[in-house]
Amino acid sequence: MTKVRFVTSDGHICEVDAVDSDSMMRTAIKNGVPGIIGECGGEMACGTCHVFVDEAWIDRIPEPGSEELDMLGIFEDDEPGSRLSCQIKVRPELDGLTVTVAQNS
Amino acid sequence: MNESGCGRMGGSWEEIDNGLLNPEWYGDRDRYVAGFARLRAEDPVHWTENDSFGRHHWTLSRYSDVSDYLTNDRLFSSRWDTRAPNSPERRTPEVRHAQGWDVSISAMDNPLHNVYRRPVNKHFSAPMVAKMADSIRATVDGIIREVGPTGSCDFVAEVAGELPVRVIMSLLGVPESDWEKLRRATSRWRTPADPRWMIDNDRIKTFDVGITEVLDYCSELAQSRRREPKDDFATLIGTIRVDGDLLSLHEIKTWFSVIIAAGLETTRNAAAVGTWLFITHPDQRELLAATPGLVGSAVDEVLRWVSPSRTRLRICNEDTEFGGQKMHSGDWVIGLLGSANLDESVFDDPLKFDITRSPNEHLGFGKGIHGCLGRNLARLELKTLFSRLFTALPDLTLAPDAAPYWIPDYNVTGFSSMKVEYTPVDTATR
Repeated sequence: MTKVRFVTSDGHICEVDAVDSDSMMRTAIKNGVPGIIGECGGEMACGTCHVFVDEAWIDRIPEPGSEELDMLGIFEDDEPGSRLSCQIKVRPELDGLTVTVAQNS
Repeated sequence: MNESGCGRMGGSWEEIDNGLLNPEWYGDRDRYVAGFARLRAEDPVHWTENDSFGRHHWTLSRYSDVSDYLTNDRLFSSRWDTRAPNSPERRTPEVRHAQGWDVSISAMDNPLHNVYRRPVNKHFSAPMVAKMADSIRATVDGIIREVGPTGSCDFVAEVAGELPVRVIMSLLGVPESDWEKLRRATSRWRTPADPRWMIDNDRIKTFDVGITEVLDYCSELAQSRRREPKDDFATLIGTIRVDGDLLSLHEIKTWFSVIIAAGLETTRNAAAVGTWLFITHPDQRELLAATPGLVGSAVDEVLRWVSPSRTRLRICNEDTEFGGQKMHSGDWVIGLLGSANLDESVFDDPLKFDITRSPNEHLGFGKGIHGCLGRNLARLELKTLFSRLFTALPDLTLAPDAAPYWIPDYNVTGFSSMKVEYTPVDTATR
């Protein structure tokens, strides 16, 4: 098990055990993390699993692909670490990964 | 299945088999709902000897099977169409091109499907659709303001059908003078057995006329935007690149037609039947009035109960075993979304209309790669309508002796018309 953290919009920290190879979106949904909807199931189609990866972790996860970048372009709060959590796969090396949940519709 | 089962729940197997792709079978909701229940209970992966349609096929009726089939797009191809077509006759390459099936995401498999669909997804994503909330509220209020003073109307034509016409046509950039023409053409294409639109009592001819009218119009629109770009979705589609190049006019016009057809029909039907559900379930209507925050959950319950688009078609890609049955490459497999959404093993008391139902993972929008592109927009339109309508017209009810008439169609669940009455209001909304 890999422990990951979600910081919700009200500042609450949800630390959860994640299953390796699950996406962070799937992990959030399984654990009822508020603010992550993942309505399209991970197709990069709905934009409801938007997160900001903590600065310390940005370089430690694979960069977004072109399709994810295209989708990320719709968000007005386009800060560093902006990602679709459905595209971040949990791996043992990511133990301690912390992301902040964006205001998802 | 060889016992005749006359008088059994849902009719005999012969009646069910020949009814599943027969528009008229769906004119009686109790009949087909009972037929679906029998399929789920007795033969959930059912070899259907459908002589009336002219082709035998598998029919899936349970939620779990339909869900698996929708998400297993490698095994179950959409190469023919995502919905059951009007006839079992193969579409020749000439027809496929003339009707846009060659470049329509509805009839594409992966990897090509995603190449076409992904660049468009973001424009229908939840955050992008949320930006349309104010304009959709204004549209809904405008419609209510127009029908308010009359005290009665045909809800399907004047409210439920009007809402997606205004939303989709405005989004796309279609001039208002062309809305009515396109609306009629779309109805002929998508609900060709609806007597309101049928030509010469021939649904196949009606379909052909409708789709051709829509595509001809979309072709003109595509050319017009190429000559003179505007700030609308029609122009935006023209800027999409596939494999690095701009879409061709044929691809652009087909995209327009897909957006128009999918956008107009299902929202109209969910809006009308949903409103009928609230009128005929006053307890749920009162609950929504008392708890406006339930509107999102109410919309999903409407979509589950109605299943505005109730059948899918897939073609089996290889010899395989599915649900304990041996399927063969090339077999047609019909998935009944309308039955999956009434599966008692997933939904307690499935015929009950319960706006608090949770969880409610219905298949009203399909699932998998062909899941409804416009679902967030449809949800927003329906949420806005149900939030505003009953407040503005609090005593809205069905006109006496004018029961709504179900459209006879195996794909579409909706009303041809629904006469309603209410106390006239001069300024229904502010």
